[in-house]
Parts: sequence; C-alpha cells; structure tokens
Amino acid sequence: MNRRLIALVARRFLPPGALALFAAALALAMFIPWAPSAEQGADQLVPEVSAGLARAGVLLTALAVILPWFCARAAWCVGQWRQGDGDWLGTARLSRGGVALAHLCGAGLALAVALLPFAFAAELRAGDAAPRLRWLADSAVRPVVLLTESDRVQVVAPVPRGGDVLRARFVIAAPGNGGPQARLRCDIARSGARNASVEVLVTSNDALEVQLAGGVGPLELGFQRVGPGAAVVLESSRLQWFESKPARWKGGLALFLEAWLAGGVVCALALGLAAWTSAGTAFLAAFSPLCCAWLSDSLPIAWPGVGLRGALALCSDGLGAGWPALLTWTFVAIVCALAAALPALQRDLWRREV
Amino acid sequence: MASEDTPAIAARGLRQAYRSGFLWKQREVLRGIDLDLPRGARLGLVGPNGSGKSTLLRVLAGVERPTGGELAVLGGDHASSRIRARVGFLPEDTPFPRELRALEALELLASLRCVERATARARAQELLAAVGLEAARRTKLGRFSRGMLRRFGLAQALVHEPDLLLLDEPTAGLDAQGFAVFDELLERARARGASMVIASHVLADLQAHCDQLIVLHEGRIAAAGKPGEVLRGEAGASIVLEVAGLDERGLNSLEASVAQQGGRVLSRGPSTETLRALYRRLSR
Repeated sequence: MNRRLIALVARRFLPPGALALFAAALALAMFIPWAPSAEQGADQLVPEVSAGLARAGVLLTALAVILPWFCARAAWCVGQWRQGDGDWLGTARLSRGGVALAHLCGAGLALAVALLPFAFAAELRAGDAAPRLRWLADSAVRPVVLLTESDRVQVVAPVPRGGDVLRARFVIAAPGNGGPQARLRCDIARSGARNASVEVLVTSNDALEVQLAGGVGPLELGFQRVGPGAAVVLESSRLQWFESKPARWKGGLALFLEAWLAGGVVCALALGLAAWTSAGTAFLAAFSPLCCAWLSDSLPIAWPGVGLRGALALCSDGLGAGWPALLTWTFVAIVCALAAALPALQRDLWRREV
Repeated sequence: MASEDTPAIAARGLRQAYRSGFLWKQREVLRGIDLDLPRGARLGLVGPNGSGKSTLLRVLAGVERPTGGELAVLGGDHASSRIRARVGFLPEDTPFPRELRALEALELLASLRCVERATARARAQELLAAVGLEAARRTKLGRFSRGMLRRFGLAQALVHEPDLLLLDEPTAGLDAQGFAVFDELLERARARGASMVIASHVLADLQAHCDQLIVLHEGRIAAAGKPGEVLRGEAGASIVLEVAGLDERGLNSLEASVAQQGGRVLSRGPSTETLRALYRRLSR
C-alpha cells in the first residue's frame, strides 16, 4: 500500500470548497437549538435526553453534508482515472486492485478527518450531561403477551459481559377493563443473588428497568400484570442490556465509528460500481441503500446505515450507543474487498481514447 | 528473468479497438502492428493525427491492454507490474496531480515505481534541477505553465531510471532552453543503455535522437527504416539547414547557390539556436 497515494486521495476528498462547506455546517450545528426550549416543555426532559438530542442533531448535520459529498467524490474517482490519472497510475508498480484499495483507504482517512470535528462538537453541545446507560446488546426471548391478570410468562436471558441494567419495553396491545394502561410486575432471579421484583405502569410504550445486583449465570424473569388493565406485549420480543455509568468517551466513539462505517461502505460501493457504470448511476446505487436504512425498520444490522440509525436513536433517548456489531464490520470488509476487485476486473479501467 | 539479449519490445499483430457511441460500434485504432526494438535502440514514431501513435505508446506502457496480438516488453508481460515499473512513460498531455507541489508529486510518482524513499527524494531533487524546475519545486503543479509541465513530465518519466522510455510529443510546448534539457536527458538515458520510443511531429527531434523511424497511418505501419531512408524518398521533400556565422551577403550568396543547384529556399529566419543563445545570455 502506497502511503503517499493514500494521502493524495484523502486530500482530493477534502478540497478547500468541501472543507468550507463542512465548516459552515459545523457552525450551523453549533447554534441550532436541538432540544426543546423551556416554553416547549424542556423542563420535562431529563438532562441526558436534552444532551442526547444535541449530540444526535450535530451528527445528523454532519452526515447530511459529508455522506453525499463523499459518495459523489468516490463515484467520480474512476472518471478521474480515465481522464488522465490512469496515465501515471497505470504505469505504477501497483495492481489495479491495489490502486482501488489505496483510494478506499484515502477516502476512509478523509472521512475520519471530516467527521472528527463534528464528533467533538457533538460532545461540546451535549455539555456536562453524560448518558446514564450505554447499550450493550439485545437478547431475543420468547414472546411475552399478558392479556389477563392470571397470565404469567417466564423467560430466561443470558447476561452479556459488562451488562448490569436490563430494559424490557412493553406496549399496549388492547385496552382492557382498567383503560389503556396496565401495571406490570417483574420477578427477577439469578443464582448467587437475592431475588427481587420491579413494577412499572405502562401507558403507551414504557420500559421496565431492572438493575442487577451481582450473581452469576443467566437471568430468570417472570412477568405478570398487577390488577385490572390493558393487554400488554413485550416489544419485538427482545430485552435490551446496558452498562450503567459508562465512560463518556465510549458512547461518542461508538457513534463516530458507526458514522465512519456507514460512510465507508457507501464510498466503497460508489467506487466499485463506477468502474462498470457511469458516476451518476454509481452515486445513486451506492447512496440508495443508506436511504433505505433510514426508511425501513426491518433491515438486518449489517445493512449500511442500520447500525448508525440505531445508534442515533439511542443517542436521542439519552443513552450511549454500543460498539458497531461484528456483522457490520464484516459486511464493510466484504464490500471493500468487492469494491477493490470490481475495478481490477474492468479491462478498460484506464481507457482514454486518443 | 529475461536476459539482456531479449528485445526491448517484441510485438506481433498488435491490435487495439474501442467501442463507443449509442450502437457500441467498434473502431480499430491499431490494426496489426509488428515491431521489434532491440535493447538500447531508439525508435521514432511519426504519423498524422489519429494514426494511433499515442495509443501504441499507451499499450506499450501497459496503461491499456491490447485487444489482439502478442506483446512482450523487456522480455516479459507488458501488463505485469514488475515490467511496468521498468518503463518510463511521458503521456501526450500532462495529467499529473495538480494539487501537489512538484517535489511531492515527483516523490509520489517515484514511490509508485518502487524507488526507495531516500533515493526518491534525492533523485527527485536532482531531476528537478536537471529540467530547470529547482526554483519551482515547492510550486503546485496546477500553477505550472504547459512548458513547465512538459519538463516535469520528462523528469517523472526518468525518475526511476527506466530501461524503456516512451515519450509522446516530448518537445511540444518546450522553449528553446527546454529543448536543450530534453537533449541532455535523452543523452543521459542513452548512455545508461535505455531503449526509447519517441512519437513526435518534429522531424529534427526524431532525426537527432532516433536510429529507426516508423510512419503510422490509420493504425498500420506505412513505412519503416532509418530516418534518412524513410524521409528521403518523398517527392518534393524539403530539409532544414541551420547556418551560423554568415552575414546578409553570405546568406544571399548561399541562396543563389541553392538556386543554381535547382533547389529553392522556402523560408529564411532566425533558428531556434538564436533563441537558446538569447536565453543563455539572459540567464547569465
């Protein structure tokens, strides 16, 4: 891998015009009121949520200007090769795949440089309020449906490493004799720890939160309704695990990594496709998966942008984001490998009719 | 590893075609080129615009893969990165990274041809001085004039001391001093034993630097041989005779003797050497 070529590519992704645009967006993001004001009910928000909204707002501004530019620039790389760069890249002691990979590395480096000021600005806007909890993992469990007072559902969930807070989010399925609300109780048992019980009032979409107090092995949870009320179900049949009192940098870094991976995969797709199609088609084809991730709820975690969207949603709830999933990393690596292979397979990569 | 006896270029039936337009129509640019260039030989390429000179050089440089025929460069596959790194190529226009300073760009191009970091810096500085761009080494290539870019192009083609030098219109846009630089650099490459292919419309360049000449026409070799032989047969051929040390009377007398021999003088004016002398005086 040629470091000088990577540096040149990074420089080309960040020309003075683009830097000025990013700086203007950053300045704008620093002044926009992301959380509601006092008149709009800000006093009802906990400080972590206000801070989370500011964090997510600054990062969304970054993504709105940075990702389209990087996608377009990556799609234009092959055009630049054909307009003359091929004359010196084509005589280099680098394979075509190596040239493409160097371009991807340069794009990744430039993306990190462009995102970093926004990541710091997001923390600055968030102020002193650090997230109380940081998401670690979701556990899929059997469906929990509580229609009557006599219904009791027992679930067993493994505890992820570092997880000490569990959240079970319930939604009202149908109003019952007590109106559109229900009181829920959860009995918690774990070997080596004292049994405990927690209650929550579910009015629309509310979470039952359990703080673990030591113990080993999986957690046994028993859910049941207390008194008359509406029918409730466990949302998406999953439990969320959190780390309490996380280091502040972890949430910020996790958000940054999610944004970097989403941008990286879009650049890789654009570069790879541009070897076989026009730059405009490559841009549209590479950017549309990201738009799909924003519009659809049912895409897999590896899909470009799904992890980022989840991380931003957690952030807006005043929670810290978890590290990008292993599947996301794997998918990005596969797309980058393919993006390097696609130009290598193109016979007329440096073609310029003279 | 190919021995030093293998030719620098061995091409048989080399073809290159492009498909373009709405109907994806094929257009042949090279139509069966046979070429043998021994090691250390210097070949000139001439031909009208669109005859395939630049395409042939791009194929030889490994930038493009031919659509047909066989090609061996320096005894190996012309498309392999090992061979490509032993070829120096000066393209017709100068599409080098405009955002880099001359020294940075030359170091980048040297590193892409596997010249070691320390060597690359030293050689880049030495070559920039040799082509007269030492003062502009910290200037971005985007600010260079056409002539300066041609000089830079020459430097980058030589930065890795290639065994085969492919030059496309090397003197286009060069000033008189640039011509002198070009002559000197080519002489140094020749002394190293490098083979050369030069495409140019300036016959004087080709006659001075080449020992073989090929005339390309519509993608085919129309004539080949020693420069003098190829050009001599043309009816009504004219030559350039540069004269020094004669005053107006002497020149008139020379013109009269040409007329006596049945010839005629087509033009009379100061030669490029006059400009060189002027530049030398100015730079002193």
